[in-house]
Amino acid sequence: MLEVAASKRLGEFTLDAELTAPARGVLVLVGESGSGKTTLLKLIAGLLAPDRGRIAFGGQVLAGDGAFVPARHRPIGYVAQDYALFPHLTVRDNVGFGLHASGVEAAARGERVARALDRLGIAGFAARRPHELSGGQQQRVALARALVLEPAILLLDEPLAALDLQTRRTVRGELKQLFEQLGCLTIFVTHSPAEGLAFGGHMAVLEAGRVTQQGPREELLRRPRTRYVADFIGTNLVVARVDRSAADGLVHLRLPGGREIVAAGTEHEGDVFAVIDPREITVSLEPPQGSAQNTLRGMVADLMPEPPSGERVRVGLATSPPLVAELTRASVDQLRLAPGVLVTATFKASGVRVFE
Amino acid sequence: MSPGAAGLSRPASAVSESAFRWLAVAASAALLAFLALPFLGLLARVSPREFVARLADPAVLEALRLSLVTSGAAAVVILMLGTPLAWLLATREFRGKRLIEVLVDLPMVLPPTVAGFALLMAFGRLGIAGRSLDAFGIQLPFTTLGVVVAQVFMAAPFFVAPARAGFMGVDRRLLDAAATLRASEPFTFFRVVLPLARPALVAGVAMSGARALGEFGATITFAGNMPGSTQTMPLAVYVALQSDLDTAVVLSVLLLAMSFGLLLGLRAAPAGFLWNRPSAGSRGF
Repeated sequence: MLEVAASKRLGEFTLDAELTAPARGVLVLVGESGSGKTTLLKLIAGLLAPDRGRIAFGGQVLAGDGAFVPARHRPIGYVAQDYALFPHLTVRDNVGFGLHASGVEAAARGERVARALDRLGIAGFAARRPHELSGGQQQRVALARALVLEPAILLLDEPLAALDLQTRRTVRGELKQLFEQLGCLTIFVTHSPAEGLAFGGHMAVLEAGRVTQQGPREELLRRPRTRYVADFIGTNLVVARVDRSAADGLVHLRLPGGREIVAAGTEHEGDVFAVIDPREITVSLEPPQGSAQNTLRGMVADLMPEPPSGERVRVGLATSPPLVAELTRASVDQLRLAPGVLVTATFKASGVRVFE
Repeated sequence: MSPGAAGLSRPASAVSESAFRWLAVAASAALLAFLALPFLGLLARVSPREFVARLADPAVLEALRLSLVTSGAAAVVILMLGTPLAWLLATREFRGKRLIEVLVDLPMVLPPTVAGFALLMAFGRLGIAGRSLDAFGIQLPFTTLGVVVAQVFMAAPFFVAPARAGFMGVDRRLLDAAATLRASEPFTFFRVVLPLARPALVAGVAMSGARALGEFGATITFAGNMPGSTQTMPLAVYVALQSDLDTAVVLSVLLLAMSFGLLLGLRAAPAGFLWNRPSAGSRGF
């Protein structure tokens, strides 16, 4: 198991991260640029020393408790965002670099390098130099160079960012397969939540230098804990307090602004999270007559087709709290929705899911 | 000028722009002519045949041999001692670093005679270091070894500065990559840093070698002017000027050719040698 509870200050930015990961499998680290993903990765790799705190793997302290294991003595493999291949060495020598540095004999080295090249399908490029390779090929060299040392933790910093769209799609599939075969812990950093969700496994979300949520992907999808996570899984999240005093027998959720929404029965008490599924929200121009349980009025903020060429449209609403509703293109056209149009959003109590 | 063009560009700025260009060209031409003329004057003084005949003059050969040996030795010493210094200056922060940088640069601006005098005060028989050296039977002033010492002193900065810049130019991310690949600092230095900084090191050795070759003031002050042991080519030129103008010309042309060749070679060297970019089919270094 990897346990990180460390802080590092770099200029104006402070990373203060708590993270645990199983000893095997994939951990996807998601966060916007500037959230501290690379810093966290470098702390784990040993390229940076934490100011405070502790990093341990499998019971061995890597940093903290007065100890610091430098990068070259950690059981890690590190693939930097731009791959950082040695420009003056051939592919073969790049991949063999780590073995050479660890004092592996030339014969054994050649064998292991050949196997690593084979595994990643780059044996044909062994005599080339990095600048003669495409981005995708360079990435495989970087992966082979890290994997040939059989690391216990493989760290990948935005492995897909430097690739063009076409390559990215194929490489994503290959990487996923590769990670499943590896018997190590793979920590995969990405700024793209979609990419992170595609990889699955465990996820950790980094926001402004802190890990705000971590757990299996399904857990994140079911119970987002921050607005950022809710945003990227495409749902509406509110933080509220349960109020059962109303005479109507429904559970009222009091939102920070003072507004209330009603939810179906829940046994939770006190402060809770509530998710409102965008597909459960209907939008109309006039306030509906009758017994809709939750109605919020506000202007349309933006419209995003989902997927970009698809039949459904995500409509951002400047209500309080702000909501996203998912409608069909036909109803958007019929209502002539456009930014600035005043509408009413309606959803049933049963469309609100409450969790702690 | 069409009315449209006049409307688009203001005449005043058009005039000053062309004036600027002409001024720049004229000033450059004046300086270049000034730099080239002395060399042309030198070359005009000697016919190729006479030049070749004079080359065989024992006095010329003696000075040439001494110059090549001493400046070659100086370049080797500078490379061996200057490379570690450049590496430390490029990668470490420590107290007093600013002072060390000034010390390293100082010989570049110091009058060579002052440098030679200072060397004499340090390594002379009564100097602070000279006394200890004397105890081991080593004498530097007025010896060939002293010539090398004077040249190292004057030429070292011409190596350290570019070497340091070359080391600093090695991508930090490559050093990080090497560290995650189990490489120790020495391993990384020899396998990554040196190959990648090689162009800068080669340029630095050439520049400091050229400076050592042309060294005059510190040499004559510290090592004297004895034919065969301390009279290098620049010193021989100075002596010949007073008696044998033709020999002075031959020596000067020789020095000129060597310096010119060195600098030209640096710029025109095959890509694989200097810049470390592999050409198709070659393994580089």
